[in-house]
Amino acid sequence: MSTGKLKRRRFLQMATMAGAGAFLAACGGAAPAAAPTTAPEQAAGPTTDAPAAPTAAPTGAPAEPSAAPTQEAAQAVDLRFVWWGGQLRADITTQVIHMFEEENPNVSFSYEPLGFDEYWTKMTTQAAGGGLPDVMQHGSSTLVEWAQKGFLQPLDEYVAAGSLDFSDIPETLQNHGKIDGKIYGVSAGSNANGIVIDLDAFDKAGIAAPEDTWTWSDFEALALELHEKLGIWGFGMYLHHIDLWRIIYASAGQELYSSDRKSLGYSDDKPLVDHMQMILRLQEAGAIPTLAEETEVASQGPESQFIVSGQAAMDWLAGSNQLVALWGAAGENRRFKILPIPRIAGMKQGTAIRPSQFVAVTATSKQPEEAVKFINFFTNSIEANKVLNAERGVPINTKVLEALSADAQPAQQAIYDYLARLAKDSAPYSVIPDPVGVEEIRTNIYYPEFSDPIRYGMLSPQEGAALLREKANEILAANN
Amino acid sequence: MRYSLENIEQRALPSKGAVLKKLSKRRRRDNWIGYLFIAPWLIGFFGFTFFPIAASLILSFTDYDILSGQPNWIGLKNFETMFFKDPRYWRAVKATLYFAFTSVPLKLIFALAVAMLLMRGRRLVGIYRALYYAPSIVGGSVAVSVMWQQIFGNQGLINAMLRAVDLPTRPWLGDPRTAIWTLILLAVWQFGSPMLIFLAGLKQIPSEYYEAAEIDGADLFAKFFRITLPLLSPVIFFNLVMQLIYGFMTFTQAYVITSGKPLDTTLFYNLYVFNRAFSDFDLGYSAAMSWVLLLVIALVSALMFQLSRFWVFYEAGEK
Repeated sequence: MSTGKLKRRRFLQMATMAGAGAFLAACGGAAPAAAPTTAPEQAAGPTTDAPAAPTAAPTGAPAEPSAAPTQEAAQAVDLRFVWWGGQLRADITTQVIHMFEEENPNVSFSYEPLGFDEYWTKMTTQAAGGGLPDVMQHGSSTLVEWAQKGFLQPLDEYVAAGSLDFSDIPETLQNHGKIDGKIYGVSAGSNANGIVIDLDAFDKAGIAAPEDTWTWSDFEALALELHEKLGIWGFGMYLHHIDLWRIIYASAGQELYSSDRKSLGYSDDKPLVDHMQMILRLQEAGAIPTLAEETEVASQGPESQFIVSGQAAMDWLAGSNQLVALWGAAGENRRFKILPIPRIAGMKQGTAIRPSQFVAVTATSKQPEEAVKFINFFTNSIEANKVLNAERGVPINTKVLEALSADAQPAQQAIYDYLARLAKDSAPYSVIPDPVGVEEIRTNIYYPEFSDPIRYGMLSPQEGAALLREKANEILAANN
Repeated sequence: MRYSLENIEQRALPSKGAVLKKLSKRRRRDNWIGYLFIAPWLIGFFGFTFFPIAASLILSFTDYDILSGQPNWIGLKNFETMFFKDPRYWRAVKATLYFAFTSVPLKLIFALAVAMLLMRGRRLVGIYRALYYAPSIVGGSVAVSVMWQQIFGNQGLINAMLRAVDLPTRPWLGDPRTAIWTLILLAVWQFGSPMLIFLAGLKQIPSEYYEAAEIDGADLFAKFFRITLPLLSPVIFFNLVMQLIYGFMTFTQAYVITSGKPLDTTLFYNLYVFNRAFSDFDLGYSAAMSWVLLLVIALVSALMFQLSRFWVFYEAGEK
């Protein structure tokens, strides 16, 4: 051995040692991989525990379903609330939780803000293993799936008893959380897709801001004109966003999903093909970025959209509530306005007012009364909503909204104004709840098989639309 | 010098049987202490490695999706979907193979070149070695991935430099032709650990061989191909096997930097497994994909061991 000849035994020794090193290296690599934060929207704050450690164990005494909501009968209870969202949401929600605890000294809260992806990984695992929080956040499609699988409690009896006060909430907004006739979630705020325009850019180009009744052909002409006059993109990113799929068909008077949820609700690809062809024309003319240029920004949240940096005169708004973050990043001296998504010429408005997200009580909650009480506070308290400040969407309680409108900042004012205009002429929020499989269509079909290949020029809009319809129908038929 | 069991046995030859008997008796008595010492590892292995592996094998034949509760046995349907109905699966396979078979050779060539430079015992060679090894340690981390994303971003370092000299910029991460190359570059940059192994291998080659070759008039070229490469072949083989396996399992970089985009050109196998498991919650399907990956890695490794007979050289007549 001392001669230093390399023999097989030596080789094996080396292999073992390197293997051990590799194992350590792999451990080092794996740990940080579990905490990726790419999008600011998803960058959650640090996990926070309740300041006063919840020591009172409610295990022995499940809360009785007492009809009398008297304070003195209240026992010490632990509530747990978990949500997804960014740092701003974490801060304001925590503040509201403390306000609730002050009003209800018997309740001690534990809470956890998470990034969107982590949130679902964690909630799904907890659903399987038991230990879901009492109150959780939901999107429209997950609310349906989770309610149907029995993970959520219907809230109708609390509404009837008045402990969940719906008296100042318009009926349409009450019904947003209704699944198969029962209320499973309370909207945390109303929202709508929209197009944000930079009023200064329009002034500079000498173009008047378009009307709410604008059409896709108006949009196309405008994007080209803005591009020519200003030398920037007429429109920023996500002109192929999946939400537009529904809006385009709503504009044409068709439902995206059939009423039995087993297939798509339309059979005519033309509206979608027209839209994709318009995207290709604008992309060709340089009036919108190529998908290659968008890709990087698309995953980073509203703060990094092209309109913020002044590279685009109009941009996509996935939810009107995102204007708060977008405007904040752009600076207070800028002027923005939200417009509805354009309609197909001669057709109706396809943009709908919809819940941005829901708060729901889980079926495993041992103290649903207290959980409902919190949701009631969250929804109806003016003080609480002054702190929450429409960050989750426009408050659904009319009186709360009035109180907030009185001293709204420009971004909030623009959002309230937009939703008020839209309320007069919007597509009804679909009465058909999202079918199971919507997420699969989104992640595995719509973007990777349909919109992206078309925008990269690998697939024609006609072929793409037919493929999308075929694959989506397959998934819907298998899941519903 | 060397103390092996044979030596002990030879010395104790007169009473060999007795010694062995005594030894085994003692061994039996001491066994439980041994097991006690490795108990933490055993618990960890069975609880966190063996059980999940076994569970995933069973899950791969089911439609388990966490929320529905009971997994249903669906036989080979997951594998059928994977092979015949899922275009993204094949794109993931293609991306992974492309990545592994370009990044690994490049990385090894680079590692060997740097190792040979470092062999020439210049001053500060220790510092260089440490410096070049550093990317290997941090390269798989999220921090470096985020840095990479900044460097190749639309407004990133590379484009800023191109702009400064009036060259056309491009969206490196968004262009299907270039995105995977940013990841390959990141992998090649982490050449440190194969480099260290090459260095160790190079130091094992006796200098007499080179001296003899020089006397015979061999040039650098001949010395490299006739002496260095053949004698280094076991080390090259080792590095090749290990790096290919890593290549097949790459995850973090693609997850953080490109998230599989654009057009799934960087959708590495493990990233797709992860997405299917933790964003689509198709746990049965992703378990099936993991098992296919395991089998493929085992097959590729076996094939490489077979092929190694033709080019890997062990000294001292060992076969």
